[in-house]
Amino acid sequence: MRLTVPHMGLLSTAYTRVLRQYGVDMQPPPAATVRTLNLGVKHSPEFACLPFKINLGNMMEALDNGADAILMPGGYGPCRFGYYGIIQEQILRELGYQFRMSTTDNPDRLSDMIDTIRDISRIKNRSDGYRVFFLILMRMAALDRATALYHYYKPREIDRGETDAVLKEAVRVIDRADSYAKLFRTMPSVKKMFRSVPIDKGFRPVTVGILGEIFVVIEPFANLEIEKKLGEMRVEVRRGVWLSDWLNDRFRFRPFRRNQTAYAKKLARGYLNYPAGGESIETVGKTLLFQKKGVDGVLHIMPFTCMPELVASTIINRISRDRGYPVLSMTFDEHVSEANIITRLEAFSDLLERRRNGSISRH
Amino acid sequence: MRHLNIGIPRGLLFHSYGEAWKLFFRELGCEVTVSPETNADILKEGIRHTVGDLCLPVKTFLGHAAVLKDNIDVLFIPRYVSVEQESYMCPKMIGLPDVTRACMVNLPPVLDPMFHVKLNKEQTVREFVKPVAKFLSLSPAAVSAACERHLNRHEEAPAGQHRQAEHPLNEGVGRSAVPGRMNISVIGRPYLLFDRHLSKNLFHFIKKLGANPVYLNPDRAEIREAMAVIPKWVYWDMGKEVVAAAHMSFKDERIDGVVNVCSATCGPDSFTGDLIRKRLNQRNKPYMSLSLDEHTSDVGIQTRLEAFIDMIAKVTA
Repeated sequence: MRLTVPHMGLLSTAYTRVLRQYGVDMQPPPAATVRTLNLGVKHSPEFACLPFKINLGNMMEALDNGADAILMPGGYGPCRFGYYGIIQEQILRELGYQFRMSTTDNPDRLSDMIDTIRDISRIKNRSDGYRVFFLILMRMAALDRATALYHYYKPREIDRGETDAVLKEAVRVIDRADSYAKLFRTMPSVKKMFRSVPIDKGFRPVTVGILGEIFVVIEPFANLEIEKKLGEMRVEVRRGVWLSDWLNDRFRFRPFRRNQTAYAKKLARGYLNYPAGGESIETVGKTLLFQKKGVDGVLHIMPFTCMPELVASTIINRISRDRGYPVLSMTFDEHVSEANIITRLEAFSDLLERRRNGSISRH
Repeated sequence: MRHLNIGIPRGLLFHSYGEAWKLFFRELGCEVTVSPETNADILKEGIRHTVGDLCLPVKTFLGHAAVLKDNIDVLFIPRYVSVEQESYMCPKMIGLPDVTRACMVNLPPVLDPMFHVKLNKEQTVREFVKPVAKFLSLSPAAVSAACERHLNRHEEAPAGQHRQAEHPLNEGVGRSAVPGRMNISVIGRPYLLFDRHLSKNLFHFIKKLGANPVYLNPDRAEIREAMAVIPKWVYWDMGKEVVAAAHMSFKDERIDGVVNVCSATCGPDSFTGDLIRKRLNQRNKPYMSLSLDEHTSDVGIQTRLEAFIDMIAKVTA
């Protein structure tokens, strides 16, 4: 059985090597390209959201490369994600692909995740399952940590592109850390790697909080590398949505980090009084948090037709009007063009810059 | 003492539960004002208030709230999270009171009790009743009793079953197929189908073309039966009923064609539509899906319906 799982940001880096050690024949999909997207778009329902289409393209390319089993997380949320696997399987079967499909119907439940791991690998022992699963979670947290360092160093770098090279190397180093001991030893060296990037120490970049639907936020292919683009415009990114936080809210592997969903729920009170699925409550709550913390503006990104984020985008638009706080919502789908994104980002960062310098009024 | 005037926008879940809401508030001694039927001005008003790419029914709803807001004491926008266990409404319905507040200024107070079916039935009612009782300064027991009598009936009837008998569209829309006529089953969400302006009066037009429009309203058992045919329980209230209605229509020998009406960017329907077309329509019955948005014209819908009905007539002749 050659198993494939659709990509989501750096997640596949977190699990591929570890699962291979335990006898899972992993076949990660090739990195998404325009071809992936085109394949996905061609066979998806018209108004399916962008993550669905990219996932489907991933699956098709992986199956073409020899995979014969797909693992797709499911769920029962108000968001469409929980139903992805069913529709994707139907489309792939109709196209004549032969494969085994498994879905974890409760990705929120630890025992289900452990069962999934035991199901696909040589691991039969429950406690080994926990050990491996938590290692994967810690690796994900390490990758997110490296990405956060990237956000800090990128706008300040003196030699353009150096931070990108360091991030790539950091991801490689974390990928090789395949045990708890190695992982703990790795983190200081990752930090050192970033510290060695020559930066403009006196420079105070404009800061932009990035919020929105988690897939579009963490997958550079889906958002046309928006974080890199902002970094190149010398804007510091403060990301409000992390995969490791999402996992931590469910599996509590970082006991000292607060539950971000619960925190956002508290913050959002008055604007959004009940979570409307997806990351809606995080988007609303953290927009308010970013404003309080003095982040210069919020960039809200989501797939076209995303239901929870449409609710959130309507509400943060009101927050923006009520409080005179810059918020820009952008929708992503297969038609979005690079030039469009760059133009809008430039205009937004110019606006924030001038606003900070006091050359335009705050209201 | 003047009675409190409760305003209910004629949009979204009003088309399923509106009559029950009216009875509920009248029993509590309130006056109820419902916005008029949707027209071009109401829709325009809704679009004017909307930011972003919200769907047609939500825009319409906001239009109704906008025309109501100045003539009432309180706007009733319940937060329906679910009407059944392990199900959810669409996220836009869950966030509806907050979205309305965000889109409009100078709103009267919004009464937004939450309806969320949980394991513990009393808790569901308590959650719904508490804000209402507080707002109206009534005893929770009295409100609970009214709620039990009028609203908390989802156990026996799924979403859409409370539809009032005197609904203007009900006359002439069959609840089952008529032998010897061309029967066209129309499936879709009540808030689209039963809004004459949004659905371009398509029931009426189908009748004008000489066919018999049928609206099937699946009950619990029929929904369960349909869910057994597909690989996974559809977890959207309403989405589930659309799928079940489709299943019934495909199964029923007397139904000649199926029209699925949905709004253009509807999230759940983008998936259930695929399920209906590929999984449920095993016998290849004539099937057409119509997606509506604010740019849809009557003529566009009519042309497609004419073509669809002509095609069926040719095939069966």
